[in-house]
Amino acid sequence: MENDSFHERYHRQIILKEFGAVGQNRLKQAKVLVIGAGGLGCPVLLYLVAGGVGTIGIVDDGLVELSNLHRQVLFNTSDIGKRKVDCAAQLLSKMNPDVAILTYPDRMETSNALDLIDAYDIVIDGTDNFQSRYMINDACVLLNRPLIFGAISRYEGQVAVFKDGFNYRDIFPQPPQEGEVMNCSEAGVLNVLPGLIGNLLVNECIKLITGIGDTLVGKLQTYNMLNNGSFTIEITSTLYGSSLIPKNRESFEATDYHYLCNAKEIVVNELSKDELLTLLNEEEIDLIDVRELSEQPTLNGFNHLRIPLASLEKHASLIKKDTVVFVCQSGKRSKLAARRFEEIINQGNRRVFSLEGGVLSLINTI
Amino acid sequence: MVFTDVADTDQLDDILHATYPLLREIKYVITVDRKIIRENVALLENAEVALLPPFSGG
Repeated sequence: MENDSFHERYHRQIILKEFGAVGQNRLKQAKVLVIGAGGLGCPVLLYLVAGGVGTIGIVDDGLVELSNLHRQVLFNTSDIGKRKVDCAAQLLSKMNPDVAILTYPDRMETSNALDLIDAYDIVIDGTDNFQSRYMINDACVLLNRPLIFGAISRYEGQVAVFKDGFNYRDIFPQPPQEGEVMNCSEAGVLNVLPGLIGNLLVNECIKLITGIGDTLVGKLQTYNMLNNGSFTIEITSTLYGSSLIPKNRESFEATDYHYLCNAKEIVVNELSKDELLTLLNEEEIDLIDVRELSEQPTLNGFNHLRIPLASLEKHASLIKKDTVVFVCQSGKRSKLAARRFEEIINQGNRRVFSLEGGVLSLINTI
Repeated sequence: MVFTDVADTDQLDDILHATYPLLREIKYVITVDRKIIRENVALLENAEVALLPPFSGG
């Protein structure tokens, strides 16, 4: 009975001569790890599961957001705020109960990457940042696992299969620095693009598992959705690229990919007390004291607002001027406040400073 | 785009940078006839050159 339903479920692909029951059984035996359940991960998961890949792992630490829904087609409006891996697994196991779906609601880090990947035959990278991409590439090289790579930007996508001595560092040996490329939230993405590229990834995966057709091993395909253009280049294995990959587990785990990829490090501009006094003469600024309300000495003689660090976000709307200077007792908390303000609220729209040396350096000047 | 009288990829890169200054801020590799090049390469008649930036979006 089980065999009958198995045969019937996959009948339309089993009757393909090259694919056949052999291909279907190979899919059933296969274990595929999908990293990132986002724009690429969703279509990848849909077709892996529907097609009958036996074991599928999903890694994603994110929650469903409203702005995901236009392209992340596994999720619906009532999923907002829930863990992506849970919502995905629930829908996918209904779609095909034959498939074992394992979920990892974690961020992939150097500490867990090798153990996670080691349990699977093939890895599909649908992440959205270079930090993860370089780490996954290096881990797959170390563990000798085929890596199916997909990435998108605006109206274009890239697809590649890295195995047999080829890896991502053969194309781009070093991660780009901040500002050299844009991510989706900065550059935007039309919903169907990750759908198209995600399906190219599943296609490569199915071909790899079943052995039919030609794969993009040693090649990188760029697809342009605006003109339907496809451009495939050959990759050449490079010693330089390989030399940058950690050589063993210890050095992999000690590699700081966050630093290598220069991910969003906000630099806080500090002002000396003299610079602040000059600034106060030149323009109207918001001077924000982020100490607790009870802390002494007070900033008498300076027009200022008191917003303790812990309530900065709540009261951020009180900060209105184009130039903002944060102060605290010694200059440490104000630095934190300046960073947090830039990060969450300001997004580079206003000039933000922290007073070096804090209130203590100012008081002496009165 | 079709260019004439460009001797090599360095010269082409210079021309592109002069025409599109924002390219200076972007990371990319250059391919000639669909192969990545890592150093200056002479451009023959009808050579096809492409700039390939890294994408990170998912």
